[in-house]
Amino acid sequence: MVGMRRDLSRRQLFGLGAGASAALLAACASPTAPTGQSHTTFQPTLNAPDDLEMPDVTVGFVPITCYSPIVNAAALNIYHQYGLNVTLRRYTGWAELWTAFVAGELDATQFLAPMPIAIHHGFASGQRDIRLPFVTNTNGNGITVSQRLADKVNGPEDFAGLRLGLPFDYSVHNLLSRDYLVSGGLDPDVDVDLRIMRPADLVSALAVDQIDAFCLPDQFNQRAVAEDIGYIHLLTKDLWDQHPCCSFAVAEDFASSYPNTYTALLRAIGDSALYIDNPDHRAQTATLMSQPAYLGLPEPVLTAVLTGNFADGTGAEHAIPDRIGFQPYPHASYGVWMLDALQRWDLTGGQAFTTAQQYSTATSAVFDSQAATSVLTDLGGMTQERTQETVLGATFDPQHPAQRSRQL
Amino acid sequence: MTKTPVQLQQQARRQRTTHRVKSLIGFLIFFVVFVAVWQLATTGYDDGGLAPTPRASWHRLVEVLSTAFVYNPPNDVGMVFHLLASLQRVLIGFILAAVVAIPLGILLGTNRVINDALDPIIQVLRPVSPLAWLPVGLALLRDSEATAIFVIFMASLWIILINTVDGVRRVNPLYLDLARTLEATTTKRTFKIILPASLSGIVTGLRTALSTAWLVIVAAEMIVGNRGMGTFVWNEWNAMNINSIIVAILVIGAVGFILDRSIAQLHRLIPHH
Repeated sequence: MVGMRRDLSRRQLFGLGAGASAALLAACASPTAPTGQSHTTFQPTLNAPDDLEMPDVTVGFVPITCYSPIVNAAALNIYHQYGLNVTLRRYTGWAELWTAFVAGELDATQFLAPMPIAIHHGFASGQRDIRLPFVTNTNGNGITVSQRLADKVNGPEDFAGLRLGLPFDYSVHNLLSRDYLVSGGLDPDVDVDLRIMRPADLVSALAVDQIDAFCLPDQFNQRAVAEDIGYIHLLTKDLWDQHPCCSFAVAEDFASSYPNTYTALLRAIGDSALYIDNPDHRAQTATLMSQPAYLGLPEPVLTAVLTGNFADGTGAEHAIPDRIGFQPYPHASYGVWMLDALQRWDLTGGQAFTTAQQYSTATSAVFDSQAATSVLTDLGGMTQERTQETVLGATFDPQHPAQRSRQL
Repeated sequence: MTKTPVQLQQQARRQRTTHRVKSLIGFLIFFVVFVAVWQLATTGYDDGGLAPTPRASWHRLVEVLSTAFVYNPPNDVGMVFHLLASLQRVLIGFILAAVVAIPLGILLGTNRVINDALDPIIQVLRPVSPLAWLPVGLALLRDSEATAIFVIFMASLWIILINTVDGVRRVNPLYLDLARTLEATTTKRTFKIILPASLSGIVTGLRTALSTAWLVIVAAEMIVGNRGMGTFVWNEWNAMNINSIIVAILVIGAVGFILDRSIAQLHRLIPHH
């Protein structure tokens, strides 16, 4: 099983067959290896809560570096140290994960950051009440362009007529890419051919000239560079520094029925996140994550992403330590921006948000900042709410959210 | 009392009418039962429309059909254009497969040596899922459109080939002996005897192949197509519009039915002895 997985990932370049069978089998997910083995002795910062109501939890994931805090907690045996017995279940696409979560197959999962808002408020088919206590990572994404277009794509206006791959409608990748295209004077719905595909398929698609560029979470940007398929046009960090990418979310019914288990999960994942956020632990985390039992991705690629020392595919080398960050606090400004962007691109299923109060209520119904503050304060993480965001050079004030859409 | 021919005709007509009325009533009953079962299966879920109800699907059907002719490429394209893209791919792949498989099938059906030499290869490749060819096609052709057609070609090829070989084998040897006695040329023998006599097998092959091709295109387009019914399903799923998937299932099914009935008309070409 372990050998096969490594083999598979190598073949993934032209391995659309995996995607084909995955599409056919629709929502099938393969469980990963059990999460017990310890490789480094990790000293938990906090104690396990007493009286865990439900020690067995299954957590869904899509294998990308955003998922590092969740998988690292398994790799370093952190879940066990907090009294939990966590099984990680792998999914290859976001729609499968959404469906599995709403259908009740999962109670806790990694999601793209806008997904919990959409699922909680019923913006599309499939509603379930949900809490978002943590963002799993900030930054950690990029727009990669095919090597065929080297020197031809320098700014947003150069995307006119190109085919841009995106992972999901309800993703920061989609929302941020659209705003980026608008900044180049383009109408994303008319001037650019937007293709939603499975993240793993997008790398192959770029290789065979099926698309011209993609906006994806890492490791895919670095992977395209390593395979000499594309170059990193920009990191989304350059569009919106410290932006949220993925999140850790828990079903409301699960969190309220098993409050101690919920706290244990947050302690374990929060402890894990702050551990890997430390620059001193990045390289060893990359080595650990590259193992087939965890992410099963090439080690040099993961090291480049996590340490921020990377080649961008144009011959240039960079040292950007915050290429990806793991401070988990769910800032309300994140939620308000995403809600506004979802509304801007007609992804709220007809629901309208106009006053700052409406935005704030809709966000705080999902973002569990209280639980996050309590756990992160004990762990020594950041809990200071961000008062504003700078997106594409413009100030976004969560107190006056609608201003942004009017500008665009 | 014996009936006159006119009376017999009238009786037959009455019977046909009664039969039609009965089957129509039967259809309506089954349809109502089907919708009722569907309704029952989807109610009781408090999941915000993840399980599509008949009512929600009907609303979506009306919506999709009313925007069927919208054409604002690349991102906003109506159902009709997705359907045309899929039909085009299927027909091109299918016709290419027929052009290769029918002559090859006649050759294999008439020549034992070539047949036995090629048979192991055909038997090994035949049971492979057409979708397994997709990565190979993409790697070799480097073009998603050509790859989709290639997958359809592979899906149709073996079915037409094997049915053609079978049809040729079943040609009455008496005809062939007669042709030999009359010293007919190979061309004459092929076009005047073998082809007409094996037509039934060929048409069966074509019909099965077209249904299979229509099955396969949706799955193939989920991965490679930038337009087509498969792409439509994939995009709607990723936008979590589950009702649209029911609409797509209906449209795909109805078009598949029409395709099958159309190609079945080829049976009329078969000479009756």
